[in-house]
Amino acid sequence: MHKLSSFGKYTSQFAISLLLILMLIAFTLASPATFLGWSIYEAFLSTIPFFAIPALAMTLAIVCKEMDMCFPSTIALGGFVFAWLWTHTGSLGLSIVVGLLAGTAVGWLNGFIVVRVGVPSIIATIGTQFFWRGVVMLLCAGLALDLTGIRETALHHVFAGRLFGVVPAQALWAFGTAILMWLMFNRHVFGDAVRFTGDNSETALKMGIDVDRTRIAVFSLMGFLCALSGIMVCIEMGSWWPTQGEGYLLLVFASVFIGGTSAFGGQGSIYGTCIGATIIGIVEAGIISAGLSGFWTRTFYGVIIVTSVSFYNILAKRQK
Amino acid sequence: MKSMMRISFMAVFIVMASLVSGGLVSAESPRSGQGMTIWFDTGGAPGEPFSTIVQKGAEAAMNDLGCDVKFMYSDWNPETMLVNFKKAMAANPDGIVVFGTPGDPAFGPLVDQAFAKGIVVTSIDTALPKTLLQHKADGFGFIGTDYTTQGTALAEEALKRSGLKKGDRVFVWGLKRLPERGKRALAIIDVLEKAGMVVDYQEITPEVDKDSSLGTAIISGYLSSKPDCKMMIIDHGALTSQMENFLKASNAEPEKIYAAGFSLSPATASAIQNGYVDLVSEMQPYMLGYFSVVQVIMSKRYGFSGFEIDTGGGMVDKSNIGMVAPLAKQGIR
Repeated sequence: MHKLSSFGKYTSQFAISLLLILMLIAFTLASPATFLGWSIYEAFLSTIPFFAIPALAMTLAIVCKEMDMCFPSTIALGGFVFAWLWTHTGSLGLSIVVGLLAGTAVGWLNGFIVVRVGVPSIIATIGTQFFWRGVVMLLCAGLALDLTGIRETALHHVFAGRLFGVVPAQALWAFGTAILMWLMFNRHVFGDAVRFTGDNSETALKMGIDVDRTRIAVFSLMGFLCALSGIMVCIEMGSWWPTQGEGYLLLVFASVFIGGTSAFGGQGSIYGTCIGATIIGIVEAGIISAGLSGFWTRTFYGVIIVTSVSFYNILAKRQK
Repeated sequence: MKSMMRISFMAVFIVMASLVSGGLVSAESPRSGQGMTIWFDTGGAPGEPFSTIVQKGAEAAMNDLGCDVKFMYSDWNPETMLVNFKKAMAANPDGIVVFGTPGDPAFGPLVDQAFAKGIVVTSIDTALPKTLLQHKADGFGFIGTDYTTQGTALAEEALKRSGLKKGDRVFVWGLKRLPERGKRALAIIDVLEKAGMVVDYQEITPEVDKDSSLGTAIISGYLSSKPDCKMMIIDHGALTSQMENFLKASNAEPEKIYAAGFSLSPATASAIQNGYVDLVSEMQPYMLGYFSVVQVIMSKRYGFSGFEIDTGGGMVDKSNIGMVAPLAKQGIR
């Protein structure tokens, strides 16, 4: 895969935005009753953040030339620690803090194995994915945790309530996270460190960047945001279940690559990932509202991923 | 003197207690499964709600009958089920419990080999009719229910209770693509169409299958495009458990849409209590685990033939959820 210049980057972001707009127009024409009302957008805003938040962190990991396959288990672990503590202590504050710390610790450990032990990230995180899923299964004895009582708490409104009765709180959290991540990636020295590390780690080292620390920080951030996502899923759904996070694997990677992040590291787009997650998140509901069979969903995913990645590659080749 | 008497009484009491308890222990007959080992395929992946309840049932039988049960996991993959069976057979246990998902042609020859080695086999969840016919006298039984029967029963019951009329719209969300399991969705559709309903079927994607939190937009999208939908039948336990969230997100009032589904969980119990789910059909997976272990032990020890036990037919609604909900929390129902 070739890399894009600044002009190419803006062209790609424009193209991906255009694709989203065209899809929305097509879905609206096919099903005006659905896409001209607010409730479908409320539904999108309540579900897309759950995989958009890990996708934002994954963008940084991939730009840094790393891969975190452990994230579905980190989501489950963060959610489990939160749910277990809440059911045993009733303290939402404590449960959230410890849940987030647990996720961050898993991320840090992944980073440690990759950076200090030297295991390639894809292999190390496949291993830790199995390990943490196993730990969660052992701890919960395979049983879901009932959190229906959480709906009555004040923090439910903070994390999964509805602003003015219509805007899901998790969308605001995702929006806030995206802004912070964009600032960190584009306006902070950490973003430069991530890009340079992913582009060429030896050069980055010569430039005085602490490459190892950057890589560990990227994994830790991934763990933190995955735990945040897991906790929000628990609060929104009023339950934690042992396979939590497993369905996000394809959606997170698709969001990142549709958004224009290079699989070879060194280049990525937070904005692109947000649009990618939105595209992936609306496909199935759009297809079903249009009266098509759900069997079409995967075909659409495939077409969108292949088309967008091919488009970025062609664009980059032409600019060379 | 008093203290001496107290000590003597205590000494006598201790001696009598030890004699009685010793007598009781020696009078206790050995349990039927003592010394037996059973290899048990739970069908799914570790921690999946359905497989976990099956495993809990088998563990209860293990504790009651004193046998040793070794659990295997197949993640619903027929090839893995066959590999697990071969592994189990290599260990030469007293019995093997299998999910019949791979079907007669694949399992038949393996079951023949197992019985030839003196290993009792029984199947749960999915029937193996030809193998059952051949080895029933040897102890090969079937514990479970027929997916077609279960789908038909739920659809008929839901139609009866909801009072829907010809031409009413019904949404069915299922897994037609799975060979055996898909029969349940097909049976539901068949009953509804024969009753004159307009059926909108949607296949559950692999992502939603694994993570039910992704289902919200699908229900919202569907309901806003088809506001005349009167009934939703969800052929999936985890998605049934999230119907309360899905319908709330779609701004559907409780009791507005008649919702029916399968399998119990704490979240499903809450949805029934709050009026977002009206009827749940339960295969009673705990009994799949329990009865299958009993079957193997009884056949191995006393030569009983195979039994066919139908565990379907359990219907849960608002009238009995109060009793069932605490059991769902413990993973028994």
